[in-house]
Amino acid sequence: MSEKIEEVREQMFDLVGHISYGDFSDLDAYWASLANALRSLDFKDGAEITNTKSVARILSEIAGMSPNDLGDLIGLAKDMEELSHGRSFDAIDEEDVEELESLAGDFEVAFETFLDTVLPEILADGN
Amino acid sequence: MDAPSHPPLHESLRAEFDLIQRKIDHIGEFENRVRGWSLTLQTAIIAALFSGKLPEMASGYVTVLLGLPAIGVIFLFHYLEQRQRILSRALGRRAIAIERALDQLIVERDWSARKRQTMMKLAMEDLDGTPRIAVTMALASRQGLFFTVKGMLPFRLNFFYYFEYALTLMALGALCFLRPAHTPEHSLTPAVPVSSVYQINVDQLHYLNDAGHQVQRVEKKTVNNSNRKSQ
Repeated sequence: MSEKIEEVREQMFDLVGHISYGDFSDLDAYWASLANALRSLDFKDGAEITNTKSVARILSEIAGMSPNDLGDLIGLAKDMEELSHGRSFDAIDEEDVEELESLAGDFEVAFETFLDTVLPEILADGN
Repeated sequence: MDAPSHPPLHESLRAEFDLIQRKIDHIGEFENRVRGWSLTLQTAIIAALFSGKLPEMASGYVTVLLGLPAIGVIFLFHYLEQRQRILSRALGRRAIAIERALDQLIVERDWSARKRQTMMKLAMEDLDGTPRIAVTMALASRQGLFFTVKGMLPFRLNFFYYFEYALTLMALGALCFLRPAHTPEHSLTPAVPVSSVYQINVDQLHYLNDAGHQVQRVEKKTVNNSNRKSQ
């Protein structure tokens, strides 16, 4: 399981890293990789996570199994997905780029907290 | 025997980065040159259309047909620029990967060991070795017609060519609706109201009867009569 969690973390860093380096060429692919990594986590009591769901939706379902409030993380993920969805490097506005970079920093911190503290609790509850 | 020594990775990356930077600069200059050619040619075509030197048989609609290749020429320049833009973008992405790797190699950051390790691993994966200029360009060149044309659609990236298309279409529209249909030299259609012509003809006859061969004066008088009538 820890390997899977590290995979999730790696995909998160990949997404955030590309945004922080100004590479918006294929953000949808990075979101998809993160979603796939989250799906690979085996939640025994968790809701079904289908392939069509976004990261924000997957996090919502995970949060539904935990008393912890993941509102910020889910909100950040939703905002980032909305800003970046379907946009290439050339199609994204300058002000959106700045906002996306700022959100990415906050998302990284919130996601790290989620991975280090919340997720183990969820997995323990599930087991 | 000692193994051959290689320059450190960051030096190789810097050398590749400089090369890419020069290539991107050249592509940028080429794009500007293509736009210059396109604008010059378009101006020449529109000027030719409006100059009245087209064959006399060219009615408004025929003129539009003759002008349509102008749109085709602009499209070709647009396509050419888009191909260059695809190359430039691929090299730009490569430059980002190099920057990211250089950043990881050179800059000390206040990151956790786990984050540093992950970011370095990702940066090296993105980098995928060095040098890779030829591979990057070859992969970008494989983009097909559909992909290229798709990139020509977003307005914000292509407003220069949209402006040229619009300008040409406006010019052709103006020619179509404003240019009078061709009038043969010996047309029966009178250039002045019939009553005036009749009046002038009578004057002409009268004058010719009186003055005989003074044709020049007759023409002068005809013009005067016409002007007076219209006033």
